[in-house]
Amino acid sequence: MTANTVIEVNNLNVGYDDVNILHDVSFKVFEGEFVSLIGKSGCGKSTLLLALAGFINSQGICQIPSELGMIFQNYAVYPWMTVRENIAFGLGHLPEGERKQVESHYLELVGLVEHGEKYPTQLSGGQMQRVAFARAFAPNPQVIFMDEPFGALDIFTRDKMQDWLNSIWEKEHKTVIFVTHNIEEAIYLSDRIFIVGNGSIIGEFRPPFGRPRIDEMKYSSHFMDLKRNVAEQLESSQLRS
Amino acid sequence: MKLKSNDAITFSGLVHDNLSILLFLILWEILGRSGFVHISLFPPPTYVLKAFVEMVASGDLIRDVAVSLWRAIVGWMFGSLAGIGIGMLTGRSVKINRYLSPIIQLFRPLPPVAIIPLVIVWFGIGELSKLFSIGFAVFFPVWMNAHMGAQRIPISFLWSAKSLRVSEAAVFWKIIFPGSLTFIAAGLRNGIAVAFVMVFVSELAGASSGVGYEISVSHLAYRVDRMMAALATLAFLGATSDYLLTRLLDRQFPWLKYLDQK
Repeated sequence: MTANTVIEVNNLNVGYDDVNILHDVSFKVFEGEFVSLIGKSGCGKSTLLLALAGFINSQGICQIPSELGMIFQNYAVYPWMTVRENIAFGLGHLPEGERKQVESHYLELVGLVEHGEKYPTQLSGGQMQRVAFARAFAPNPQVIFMDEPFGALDIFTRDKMQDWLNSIWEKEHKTVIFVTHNIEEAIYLSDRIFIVGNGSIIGEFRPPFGRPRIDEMKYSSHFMDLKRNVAEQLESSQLRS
Repeated sequence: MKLKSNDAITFSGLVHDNLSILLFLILWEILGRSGFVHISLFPPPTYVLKAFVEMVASGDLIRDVAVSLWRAIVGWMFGSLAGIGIGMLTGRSVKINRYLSPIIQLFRPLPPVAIIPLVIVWFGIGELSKLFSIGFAVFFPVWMNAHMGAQRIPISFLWSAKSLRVSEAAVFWKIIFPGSLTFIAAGLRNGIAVAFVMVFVSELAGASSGVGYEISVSHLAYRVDRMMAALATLAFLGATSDYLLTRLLDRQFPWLKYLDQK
């Protein structure tokens, strides 16, 4: 069975003044795929995500669904809305009954039922990020972009959130583009990994692991080997720049 | 509703919270009665309190307070509404900011008191001139705060809203306005202090009622105790207004206090 292409990018370029941030980026993402963009700080991976979302100007061909969800490293949940109101913010088009139903479903999915009437600043970092996930998932977008969503969390919370995201993804099966600079995270979560370096995609890996992913696989020799290969490719991109 | 332990009002808590005021009053009483300065020039708080009771009993102070309060509130409201509205526009629109900010910045350093003679020439000594002067003075701190608040909305808040495909109106009312509110609240509180300064000055410059007028008349009659009673009343009104505004903001926008605690 061939999966449908959801995102198709051809010769995408992004530049400010005379500086070329991204050049000739081309790739495809298929329906229900979890794709990670990995690269070192300043390599252009977040810029690529913002260009795909249409938040910054770019040149080239970029076919992408108009319905997309967005999750940022700084959570970007609105402190003046309760958890429930944050989740419902993108559901204004739904009738009230249906809106309440969707709201409650995602509140339960992210495990925050008892925190529904709280304000985000009353929650921990991990809980705030779960609110951001629920808000992005709730309008049922075709694609979800995640820009280093666990970057602001401590290592223990980050590990927990990876497992949590895996379980959510198993249930929702959304097409995801996930930006990270953490190799282990990229391998653990993704179907495919694009290496971003010097403003373009310089490599691609397919983690050979089935789903659901389990924590123990991080200690397998296959996982370690892949981690080393990705690291070497990242290192070579640094040497070339 | 049961009060939480940290919300409970105790006698000891009240004493500690107002210790500086109590000490100030005691020192003032001692100094006033020491004979170091003539008692009519520097009356102690008990004399001022007596004058205050007389002024309240005669009905003069209550009438003056009502008039001054009305002027301060109406002037503050007009100045604040204009400040918030224009601040939001200049803070969010590059074009409007380019055209409006230079003229606002030109008038901003002007001491608001300096325009009073001109305002009297234009509008006379009636209510309009006082309200205009107060509103003019309040506008600038409120505008500056609203402008900065609107400019400092994190871009990720707006991108999230865009990805959720909410309307422009919803972006303004549900993201930009509440996102600027911490700054706006600071501007409004600053504006209250400015409003009371301007009430006093504009009533000195030409009025037949108000706390400022009372101070001016007491000055001519050499009644320092009455002047001090009127000044204390003005200070109390300003502080109470600020307190009430803070309570109102906390009540209307409960998330503000959680933001402070984070």
